[in-house]
Amino acid sequence: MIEVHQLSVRIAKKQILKNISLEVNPGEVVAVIGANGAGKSTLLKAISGQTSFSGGEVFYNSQPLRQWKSKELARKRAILSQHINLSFSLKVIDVVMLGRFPFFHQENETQRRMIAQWALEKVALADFAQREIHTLSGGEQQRVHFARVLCQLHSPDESGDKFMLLDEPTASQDLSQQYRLLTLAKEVARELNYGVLIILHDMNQAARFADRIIMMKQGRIVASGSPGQVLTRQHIFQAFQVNCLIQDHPVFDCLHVTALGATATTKY
Amino acid sequence: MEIAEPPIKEKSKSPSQSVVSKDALLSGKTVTWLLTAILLLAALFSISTGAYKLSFDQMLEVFAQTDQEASPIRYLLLDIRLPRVLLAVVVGAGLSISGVAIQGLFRNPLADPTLIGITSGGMLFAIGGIVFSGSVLAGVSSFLGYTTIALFSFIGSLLTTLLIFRMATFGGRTHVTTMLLAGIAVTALAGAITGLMTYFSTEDQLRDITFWTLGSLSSANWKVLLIVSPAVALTFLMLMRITPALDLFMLGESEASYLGVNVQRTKWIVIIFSALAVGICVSVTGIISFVALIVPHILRLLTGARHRFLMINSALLGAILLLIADTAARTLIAPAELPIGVLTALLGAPFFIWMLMQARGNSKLGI
Repeated sequence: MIEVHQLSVRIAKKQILKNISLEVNPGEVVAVIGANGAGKSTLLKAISGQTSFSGGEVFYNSQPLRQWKSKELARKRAILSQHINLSFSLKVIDVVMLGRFPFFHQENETQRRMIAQWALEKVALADFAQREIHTLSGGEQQRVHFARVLCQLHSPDESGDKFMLLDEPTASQDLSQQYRLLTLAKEVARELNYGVLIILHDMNQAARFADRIIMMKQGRIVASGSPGQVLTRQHIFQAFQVNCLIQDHPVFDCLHVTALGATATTKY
Repeated sequence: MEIAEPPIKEKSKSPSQSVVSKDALLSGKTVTWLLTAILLLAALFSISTGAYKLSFDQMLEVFAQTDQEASPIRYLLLDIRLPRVLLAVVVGAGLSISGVAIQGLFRNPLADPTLIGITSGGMLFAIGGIVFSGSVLAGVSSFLGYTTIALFSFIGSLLTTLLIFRMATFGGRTHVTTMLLAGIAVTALAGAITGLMTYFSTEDQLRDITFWTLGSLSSANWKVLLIVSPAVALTFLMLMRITPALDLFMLGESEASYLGVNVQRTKWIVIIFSALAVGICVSVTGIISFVALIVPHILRLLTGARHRFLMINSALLGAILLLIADTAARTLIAPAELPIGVLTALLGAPFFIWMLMQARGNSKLGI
């Protein structure tokens, strides 16, 4: 389990995060939503160990973040960033194999290649293994990196929970790619029992794919809980200054949020 | 309403059941063997070629001699040709592996030690060492001999690498324009100070300085090799150790650290050891440009960007390239000699222009 206790982050004398507490359990998808500048990305960076925090503590499987060796931690938590720009072109399979770095001295090239192939099959890109990654579309490239993240966490023999942190993975992607990636994230949580923390902009995606939602505003948590508990008109207005209409989704068993604009009357 | 479900995933198999596909027309290993063979042939050819041609039989004869009797042929082979060939091999390898590492660190194929000023920094300090060795540094110089100049050159290269890296890397990424402009600035500054120093230098020192700016392997001897070889060998060993980490640098520093790479340590190893190899090589041969740019680029096109074989093969191809260039430099207008730096620049500058043309509109190169 990831446990975050009273986390505070200051950057250049500015308080970015204040007293954030949350947890991510194995097998569940937790979405973090909030307006721009709410501190979502900083939260993810702090949890991942990239940004140091001024107060509080982050625990992975009950062990404080500071006590983890970087390679050990890399076997338990993987991060998918928004934009990854490779400096030199590589074959898709080679990109995915980079995920095996935390296990580098324990396995040979053939074993690495097998695991990478498995991960590519998971994201339905096995046929692209030998293609140069730059020849793929943006959405496909993001799925390759998703496979790399899967590859990084693959160690069936190791005990302890594993986690994926996804930083707006659907940003600048078309609708079908967004859908594919989020479905994959949910499947990974269910099938492999990984805890998934995902930053999203779209409340409807959060409503549909997350088990729990954390709504942030100006470095603090506005609301946290099931989508039904968090996605209320009051919370959304508080976090985004937008009036909205909340209904049951006409097709799926989840809520649907329709933004009405900041000045819309609230006759609904 | 009907929602079409895209085919998200096939039934997943466990990794062991997957088919392992082998790829690539030329594997890294094949290229290694190929280059090793070419290097040996080139070395043999280079030893035999020159103002006086040595036949294979003559060479065997010298090596077969047990009484170590002094003869002109023996002297030519063991004290002139062999050290020179070995120096070309070592310097070519040293410059190329530094190029690979620096390009990996800067995440850009245009990061060539000469273009970004590392070589100039080394040269400036080396020349400073020569000019001041007659005065302030006299004591140090006589004590350490060759090593002093090499040490100065190393420090110059190290400081320049640090400066350029600090200047060009901010906000988590390297800015190529800043990197190249900083390189131009450093090269100009080094050129100006070098020019200034020529006024204070004696006749002999002036000749040394000219030699430095044009590049030459004519100072090859066993003593010099004793300084350069360990530096390049150590650099090679250290850089080979971090090739998996350099692979991850392709994703960016943040991603590399997420995957467990000790980013700071990797950076320091690249900076210190590239500067060591470049600095020491420059102190002996002067400025030999473009080798570190061309060699890794060709090999990336041939066998891909993964650093393990890129590093090994760059060492080999760099050695071959410099060996051939040096053989040409000392035979084209024999018995006189062309400066090798002039030859590599004649070859490398058009190549660089070609790379820039290729890079136009290619955001990957960040231009």
